[in-house]
Amino acid sequence: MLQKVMLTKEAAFVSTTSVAAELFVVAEVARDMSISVKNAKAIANRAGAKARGFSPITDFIDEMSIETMKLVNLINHDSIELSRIAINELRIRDAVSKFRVVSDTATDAKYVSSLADSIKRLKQLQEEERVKLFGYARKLKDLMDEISQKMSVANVIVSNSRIEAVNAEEYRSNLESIANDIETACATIRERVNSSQQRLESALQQWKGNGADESN
Amino acid sequence: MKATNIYDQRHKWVVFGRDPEKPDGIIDTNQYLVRTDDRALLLDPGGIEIFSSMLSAVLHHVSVDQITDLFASHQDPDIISSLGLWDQALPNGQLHAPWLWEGFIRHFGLNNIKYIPIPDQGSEINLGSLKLVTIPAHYLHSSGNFHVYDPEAKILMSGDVGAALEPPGADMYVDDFDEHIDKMKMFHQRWMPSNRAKNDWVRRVRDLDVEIIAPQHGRLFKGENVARFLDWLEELQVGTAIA
Repeated sequence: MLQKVMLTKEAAFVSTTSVAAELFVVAEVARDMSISVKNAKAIANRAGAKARGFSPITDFIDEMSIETMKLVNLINHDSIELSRIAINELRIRDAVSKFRVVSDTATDAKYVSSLADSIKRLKQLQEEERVKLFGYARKLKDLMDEISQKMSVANVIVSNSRIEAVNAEEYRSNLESIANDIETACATIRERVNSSQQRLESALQQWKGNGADESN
Repeated sequence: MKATNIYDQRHKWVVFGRDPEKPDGIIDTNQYLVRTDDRALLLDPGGIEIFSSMLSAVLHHVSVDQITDLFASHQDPDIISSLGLWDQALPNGQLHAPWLWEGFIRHFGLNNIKYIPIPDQGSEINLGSLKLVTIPAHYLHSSGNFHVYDPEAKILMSGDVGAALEPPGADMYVDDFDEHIDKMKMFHQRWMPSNRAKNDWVRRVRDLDVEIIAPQHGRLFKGENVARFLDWLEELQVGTAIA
């Protein structure tokens, strides 16, 4: 059962770093999946004609698990980069907020107007960071969607592999067991990706909210 | 935050402190501003928690563009944890701080301001029309530590040396030295680790012409209280946490 991630109190930069941690597990599961598939392939080879239809299926899933690992590596890199940008944006936002407080409250200070340029410059920097932030978030979302699609395809393939396993006579139970392992792995990956997508969505909502707050 | 002029001639020294808006549980600190006609230096500009009060107070005296230099006597958070915010405010500024702490101080956030490492023997801070001297104060209390001496104003900004723990709203200057001893004795005995370092510092400060000793916590010593403080410190046994 998919666990709903409690995100309301999690800071956006924590959410993005958590995506990397969450998907680290996906890489491990994908690696296990690749090993299961290699076992299935060895059994299919031994089974010969009885499991003829199984080999192309294992090839496909093997390739898919390797691609998933590559995607996770990309996501890992991008989510850490996203988190770094989010922290930088947060620091700039904090500075802008503090400068604004000073600008609004120290109205009797002789040189208070000299802060205006700093605020303007920082707002521009912040906007640049926000553009990068949304760009990386979009890219991450696409990569995670790609993994989800792969898992949907994998599910269909696993169903086919069960049909092929029926014909494999004495190898049937071994192949069915491997199909179960792959199915479980797919479910775990979908669950993790779904949870990461929620975290990312929560972070996006926070950033959008921050932007709206500041435009008021 | 209270601002007090401590020197006002060709250039100016201002001390900021006794911040009534300071969150509870945070030690009160003195921050110093040295201002010439066209440049300004902030000495031990303080922690992140007092940044807004400090900036508000500073803007009564100088514009942001005029602040060209920061000085950090050592690495402690109450000295310089506001650096990340000053870094956003002063993209062309420079920070003079002990070479020993560069890799550590950068953890407070330093992307724009230039770090000028002060060598162990000390160096000069050149503000154009005014030159200040950094005086080594290693192990008082930090292993890489400097004070700033202004030969023209005869002011020695002495970091944690001369510091006292005072209730909120204390006066800026020591008036009754004997009464003040209780407020600074434990601070020096516990925070200062080395009698040798302390006595070396006392000897070197006696060679300077000092009218005001300006510590980072508590009250300033002026006039005859300068010599009284040096005598008292020389006699004091420090590093008392080791039984």
